[in-house]
Amino acid sequence: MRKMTALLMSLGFSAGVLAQDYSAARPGELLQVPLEVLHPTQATVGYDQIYYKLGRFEQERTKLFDEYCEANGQGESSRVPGDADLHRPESFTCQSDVGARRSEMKTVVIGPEGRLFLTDGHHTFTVLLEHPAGGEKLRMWVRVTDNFSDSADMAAFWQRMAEARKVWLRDGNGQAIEPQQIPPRLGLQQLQNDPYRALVYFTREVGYDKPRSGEVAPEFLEFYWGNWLRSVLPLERYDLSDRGDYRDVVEAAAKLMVALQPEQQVGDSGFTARELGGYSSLDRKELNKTAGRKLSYVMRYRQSLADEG
Amino acid sequence: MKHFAGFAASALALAISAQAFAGTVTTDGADLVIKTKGGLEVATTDKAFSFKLSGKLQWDATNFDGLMAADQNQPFDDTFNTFIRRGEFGLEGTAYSDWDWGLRLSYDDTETTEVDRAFIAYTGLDAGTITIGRFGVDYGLENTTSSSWITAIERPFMYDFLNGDEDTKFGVNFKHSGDNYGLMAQVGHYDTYESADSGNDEAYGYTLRAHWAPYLSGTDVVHLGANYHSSNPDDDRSRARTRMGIRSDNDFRLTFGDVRVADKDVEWVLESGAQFGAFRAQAEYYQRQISGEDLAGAKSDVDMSGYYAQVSYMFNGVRQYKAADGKWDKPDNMKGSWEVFARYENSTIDSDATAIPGNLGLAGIVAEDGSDEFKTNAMVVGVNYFATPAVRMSLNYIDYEVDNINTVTQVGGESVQDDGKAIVGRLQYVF
Repeated sequence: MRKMTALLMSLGFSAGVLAQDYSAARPGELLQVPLEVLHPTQATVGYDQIYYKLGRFEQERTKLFDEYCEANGQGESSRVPGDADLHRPESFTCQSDVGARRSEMKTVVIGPEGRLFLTDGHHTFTVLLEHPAGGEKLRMWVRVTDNFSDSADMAAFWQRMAEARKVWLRDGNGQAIEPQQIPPRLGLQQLQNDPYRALVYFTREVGYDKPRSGEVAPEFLEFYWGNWLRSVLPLERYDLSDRGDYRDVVEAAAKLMVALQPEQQVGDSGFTARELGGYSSLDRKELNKTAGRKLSYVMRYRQSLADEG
Repeated sequence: MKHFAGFAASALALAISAQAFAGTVTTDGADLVIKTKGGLEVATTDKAFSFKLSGKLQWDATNFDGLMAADQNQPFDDTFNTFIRRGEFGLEGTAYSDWDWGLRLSYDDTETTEVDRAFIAYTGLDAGTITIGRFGVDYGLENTTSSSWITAIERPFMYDFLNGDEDTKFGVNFKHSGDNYGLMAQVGHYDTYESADSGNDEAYGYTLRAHWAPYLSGTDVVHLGANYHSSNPDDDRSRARTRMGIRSDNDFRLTFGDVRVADKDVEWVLESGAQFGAFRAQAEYYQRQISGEDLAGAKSDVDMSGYYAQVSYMFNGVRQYKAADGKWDKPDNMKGSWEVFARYENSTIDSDATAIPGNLGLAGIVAEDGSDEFKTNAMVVGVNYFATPAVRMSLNYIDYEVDNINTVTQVGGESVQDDGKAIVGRLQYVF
């Protein structure tokens, strides 16, 4: 009986959380919410980026807590005891208070009925959701950038989102999709894989970096790069299950990036290479670091998935 | 040049302003990114220009006795020394995208301050990086690992017996790196040698290294490597000396071989290492041959060989591995992680009687049998505590022994000892 009561209570609590209305939240406000209430604004993620993080956290446990703290705008973790638990924030400490580094926080737009639409942080939150220590009940802090809850209907809302460049309407093959095709929740079961999105992640600091100095990085910046790369770099030529081949394609992608002139448009993104943080030359040290570490974790995690069957 | 000077001036001004918590900071050139995590780094957003300030301080305290305390006021007795083991302040950067440079001022326990890094490197080739000037060389697994992140306080004493690990006075280095391997070739001149036949003309030796990680899965790794070095002594003096892993104010060293006119000095090193989870093991083996004559023209050769084996375990962290460089790196977590280790070292020095010095570094310390080999060994155990990314504390215990030392002779009225112990502590700050 007690179990039944607890089940009913948890179901009620869960429904309450899902039904929460954030219409009153104002831009700049910080909200703490479970990951399950966040609606994606893109249909795809780069699976390999998520595999890299999950693989790394298996071996480097404190990095998981760094990820949690950074996403909450708290810098890195500062003390992580052996019994630290993401669901008990008092069990470990971060460098700063929540929101101390607002620019590093993940962002949401308030939509109709006060629902939360995640505009930055799909990968980080998918990692935390997929990690055994996280899950969809994990409560994270997000920063509100816009409140579009007064939109007449969902169509009007998505229209505003598109105009503000806060939604990415393409599938894993780069084909256009409708907003209704975006899954309602985060997670690898929901979101499709876009290998170019992951590829761009691995070229970060090799061929480009997110602009930070005096400019605001365009949301979905990596998708702009990825969509352009899809048109100039066929992945079929490479065996992405081989670390050496993967390294080669990262190098090839980064070389294409740095070959663009700073004021040259990156495909049909509407942004120039400079605006998207393109470098003028390949950073080979970072390329080696990426190949030796990040790609190694990708392969490791893929292997663990294969072992699990 | 004007571009570079402008960048440097803007970057310095920005850096100083940032340190002083100034208000709005602007730049008259490219947009800049300032990183303050782990030193100070300033770079243009496209990374075409950058510089980084870095530094290191290592304070050591050591209590030692026995053979390595032979030169102290009370020979062989307990002796306590404190000293700055390393004090370094360096600048490294990039100019025009593909040109790296570096300059470092270094102070060590021999109380000398010198510019030990002054180099330019071209990184714009797919094939590899070319470095010219004065720099440290990748040679051996534990030697290639930064002195900030080596396991014990001192590297294995087998490196005392090697020449290839020395910093170049001037050299040219080429290095090709892949995702799990690297190849290196270098021609260099070292402080050790100048041509004896041609006045003080510099002599140039060469060094080769290849490393490979046949298994690499995150931080789990199996590492293999091979090194070769030819010193080209060109009739200069060549010696086999060691501190047995114990540094002191006096910088006392034992000399087991001294070839006064060396015409050949070659050596090779094999590396192996593995890490699975928090457990790490490594071993290296070397051989070195010095050939030449003594001052009377008699044949004078020294052959050396040895190895060390080491195991370690880390709590609350794991060592990182740089696959492109073939070396260990700092732990992933340095916010309260611990590491314990144990290492056994052994080297044999087989010197011709003509190559054994009259004293082995101090009057009264002599070989027991000039026709016999010297055998050295040490056991080192220790613990490291990584308090913060900048602060590391280490404590080591060393138990060492040397065979073929005459213990009948005396130094300062005390019978010579052929073994000893040491406890060494270190406080390190790096940025």
